[in-house]
Amino acid sequence: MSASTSNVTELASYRRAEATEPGSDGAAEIEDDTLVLRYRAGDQAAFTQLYERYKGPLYRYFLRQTGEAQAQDCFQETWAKLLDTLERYHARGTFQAYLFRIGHNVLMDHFRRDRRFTQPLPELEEPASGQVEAGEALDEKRRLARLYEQIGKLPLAQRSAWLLQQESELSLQEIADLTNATVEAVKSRLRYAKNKLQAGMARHER
Amino acid sequence: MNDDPKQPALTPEELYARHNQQAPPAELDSAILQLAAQRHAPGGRRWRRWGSSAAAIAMLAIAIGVFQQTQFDDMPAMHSVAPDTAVDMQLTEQRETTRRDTVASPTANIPGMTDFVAGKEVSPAQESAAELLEVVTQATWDAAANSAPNAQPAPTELAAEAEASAAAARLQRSALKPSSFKATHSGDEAGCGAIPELPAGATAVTGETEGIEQTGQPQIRYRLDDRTYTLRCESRRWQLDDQKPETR
Repeated sequence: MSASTSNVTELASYRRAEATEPGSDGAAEIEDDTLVLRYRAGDQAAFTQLYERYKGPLYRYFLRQTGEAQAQDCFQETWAKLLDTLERYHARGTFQAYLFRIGHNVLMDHFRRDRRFTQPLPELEEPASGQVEAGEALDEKRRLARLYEQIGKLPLAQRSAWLLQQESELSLQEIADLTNATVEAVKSRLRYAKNKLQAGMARHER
Repeated sequence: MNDDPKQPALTPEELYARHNQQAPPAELDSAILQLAAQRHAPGGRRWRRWGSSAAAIAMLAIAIGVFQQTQFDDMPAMHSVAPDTAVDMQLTEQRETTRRDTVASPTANIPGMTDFVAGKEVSPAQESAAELLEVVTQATWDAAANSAPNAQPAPTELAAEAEASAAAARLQRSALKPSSFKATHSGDEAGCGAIPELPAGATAVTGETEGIEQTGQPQIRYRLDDRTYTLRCESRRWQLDDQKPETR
């Protein structure tokens, strides 16, 4: 199929997707693949929608595994790589899986390049002087800081699997695919990660 | 601590979900959206694809032009050869020199690979074209000489830089490929020189030694953007095989 024929086919398919989309008032969430096709067809706003949809989960996936500066580097590199390959993207899987696969590879490359592994810093914000924060809220912040600390202590494979499950809507099969593991291995990693996090939190709260 | 028995402590997953609000800074948002707009602009992708080649060609053209001008200015007024003819001769000679240098470069024909001389910073605005060409030529030959079996590197600053680049490439290589490969085979044994640095984002495919067993030549397979590439050491040069679609 020639390039022009391919483009025509893609445009036609995205118009069909638009026509059959539930709730044509624009309030319904447009599918990722439709947004990709729209972007290819010249709709810059479609990319903005995709970006807004996934920027938070992807950024936090990096942030919980590296320092802030490194997370920003990985984040930017991932989107740049995505833009490089978006013309060749075909909906074999979900767009989200495609994006996180690129992100995961970028992160692994980052770890290989920089062996000085940076643990994520606990984000414990003490109340400002004169400001009395409710005890319950402060307690939850402390628990959250401990959770981040425990996440940082997990082995890389367990941490990646756990964070992918928390931050994305990827299936076990998709997590297995993008981490080059079997579904059974991913299940096992998730189980170990959950147990370690619970144990780590409980140790602090005793 | 949660002292209220009616309100059990949140599980790690619940606690995490309740606070996963962090987002990238606004300047990062605008930078990426701007990048998307640029990639989308007419001709943007074409420029990206040919950008590096175009820059190299432009740099070479400037170099040849300035070199030409310099030589022409130095010519005696009553030169026995017409200026146009002299220009043609020098251009031909220059092209021949450039062609030889390009062929001699161990990674010149490998797309996405970083040449050993790539790290050499030269500014055409500050250096004359003759100096620029000399630097490139010397660095290329030094890199080739250093990668040849049993060759001693020339005690020059450029040779030291080329060696540093090769060492960095080796360091990265050792992190990317299986240790058994490193222990038994290297490009040096087959005369190909150090294995070129893999492009950014590439991941080595481990355990691929069938090519070595069959041909006795080192090879590396790596994956980039869902495609698999194979680098083979053949005829004393690293050759990049045709791209193959992902088979998994």
